[in-house]
Amino acid sequence: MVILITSDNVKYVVEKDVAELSVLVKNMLEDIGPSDEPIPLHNVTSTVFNKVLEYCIYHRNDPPPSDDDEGCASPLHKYLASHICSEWDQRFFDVDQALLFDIILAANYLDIKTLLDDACKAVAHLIQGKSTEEIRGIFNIVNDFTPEEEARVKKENVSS
Amino acid sequence: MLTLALLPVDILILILENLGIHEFATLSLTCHALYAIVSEYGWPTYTRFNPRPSHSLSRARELWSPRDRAHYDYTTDLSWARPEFIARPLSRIWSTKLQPVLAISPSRLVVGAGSNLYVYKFGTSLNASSSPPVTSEGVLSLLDKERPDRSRNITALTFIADGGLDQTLDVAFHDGALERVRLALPAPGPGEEPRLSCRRAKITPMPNGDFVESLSSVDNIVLALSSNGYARLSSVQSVEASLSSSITTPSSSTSSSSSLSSSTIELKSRSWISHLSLHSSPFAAFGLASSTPLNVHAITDGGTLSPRPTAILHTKKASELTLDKLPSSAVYGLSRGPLNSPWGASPQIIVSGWFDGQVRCYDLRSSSRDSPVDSPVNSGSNGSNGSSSSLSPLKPVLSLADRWSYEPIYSVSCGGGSAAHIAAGTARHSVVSFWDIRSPTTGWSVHAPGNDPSPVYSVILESSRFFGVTQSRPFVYDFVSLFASSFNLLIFSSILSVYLVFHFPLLFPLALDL
Repeated sequence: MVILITSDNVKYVVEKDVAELSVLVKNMLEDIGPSDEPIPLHNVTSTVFNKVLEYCIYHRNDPPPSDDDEGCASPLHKYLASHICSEWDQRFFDVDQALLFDIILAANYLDIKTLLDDACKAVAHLIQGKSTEEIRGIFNIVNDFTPEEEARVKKENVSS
Repeated sequence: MLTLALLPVDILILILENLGIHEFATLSLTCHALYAIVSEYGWPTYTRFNPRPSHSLSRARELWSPRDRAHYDYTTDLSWARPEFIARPLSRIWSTKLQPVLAISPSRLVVGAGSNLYVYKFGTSLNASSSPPVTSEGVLSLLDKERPDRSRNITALTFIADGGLDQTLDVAFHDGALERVRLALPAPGPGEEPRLSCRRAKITPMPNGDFVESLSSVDNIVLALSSNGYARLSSVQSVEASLSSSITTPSSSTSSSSSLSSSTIELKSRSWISHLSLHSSPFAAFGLASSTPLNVHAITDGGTLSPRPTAILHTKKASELTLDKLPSSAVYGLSRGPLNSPWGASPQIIVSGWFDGQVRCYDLRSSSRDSPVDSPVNSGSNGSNGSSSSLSPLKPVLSLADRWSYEPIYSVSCGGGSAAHIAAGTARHSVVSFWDIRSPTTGWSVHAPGNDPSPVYSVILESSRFFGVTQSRPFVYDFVSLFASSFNLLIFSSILSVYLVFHFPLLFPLALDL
């Protein structure tokens, strides 16, 4: 068992194989050796860590991501890798945008590659098939183009 | 609150990797910050994940913005999907029938025809809205200086690495001579036509006065294959040194060895074509006229060719026969497979053009052989390791054919739209066939400009361009939006007559002997 403490001082007791899905935690455990010292996670709040932990427990038995040579992976392989998303994952990422971004930042900090990739896919999914105006709405983006600039960018996009 | 544009850049890149060209366009219209992010990371992501290698465009693309490159590739893919292209000859019709060969580099295309080199330069354009030009740099005669009255036909041609100048070629002649040629391109004075000249040096000829039928080169390694089956792999240590021993002295017929190390094997068959691959597991493939017409020989770490084939590639039917009962055939064209093939982008995918009119694709990693056959393979001199090779032929992973044509395939090349096309030059009527390897039952064929009855001797397929050559002249198909390129063609109409697309998709179902 590994003891982890989030930035808002909530203590978690986590099984080792689950905790080690985070490369950050895994490296820390290797550095300090066998000990009962709690590991502080400075950049993660308990709200976010609850979600991260849920993901890690569900995916604890997944095969580790392979560093497949991109050039040689077959198109089918690549397609499957980028499109297969389980129902569980879809529900998991169906959260408000602020939490989704926080999960991304936590996954990045904790170095959990699969969670980071999946969360980025979830963000991409919000963008796909949307108009510019819809994207501004979804992500609260303020249009800071002048009408002239906007016309120029539009023209760029159709010119070639 | 954290917004999309404020995420760390490496995370934004991960998100962009999941998006396509349409999303990049909409995202860049939302605000300044996302416009900048898409410009810097989005478009380059698209071209990285959708590589469309092209020699003739590589100089021009260096000047384009990442967005222009992505848009050009995207619209090129659309032109291929229609298919829509402009066909045009690259020169006037030659006065005699020739058997020309092509060589390409990022700076220029060279056509070897008769004893001449026809040199074409790839131009640049400031943006992707017009296709960069292909202009003639001149003609160079490579007659023997001592015997200028004797015609000598060029049989093979390849660019060799010269530090990015793209001015050095190895040239083989029907009389058995091999030369290294450095093109010299002096800047023309005001109002002058550029005058093309060259420096030449002899290279050690093949044994028995054999002429070289095929030359291929990767980096500084050159593979020469002679008509009677000598295959020589050599490394060029210094192009300059090999050229400094110029051929002014008639006595130098014994010639200076331009290569420090070389390895020669004997295939003992009429040989036609070679293909060199120096990626992770280096090999050379040879197309012959034989009962085992397509063989792969491994290249060892020391840079020597294994004398025995490491794989024999044959037809599907051949896998049911023993090696001594295999029917004779011939392979005339060889190429690396398309990057976007169903089997991945591996250099272990090779595509071959056969005497029986089929284009066969092989995956050297595949093990779809039938029962091993226990008879030694015809192969090179004294297999020193003595192990009785019991290779059974490897089956093709895909066979393609024009159902209405039984003409032999003389040349193949891969690339094109979506990096998923195969082009094959056939033996008659100047017909070129194309297939999208993702949809191999819908191929289409077209004639070269001018409809001459010739074979298409040599082909080179790139992302948006197809170069081919018949007995009469070289030609190019440009797969670009018609409006953009017709403007560009007007500039060069003094040397090129414009042929508009004759696009008759003879959509023929294909025989798949999977």
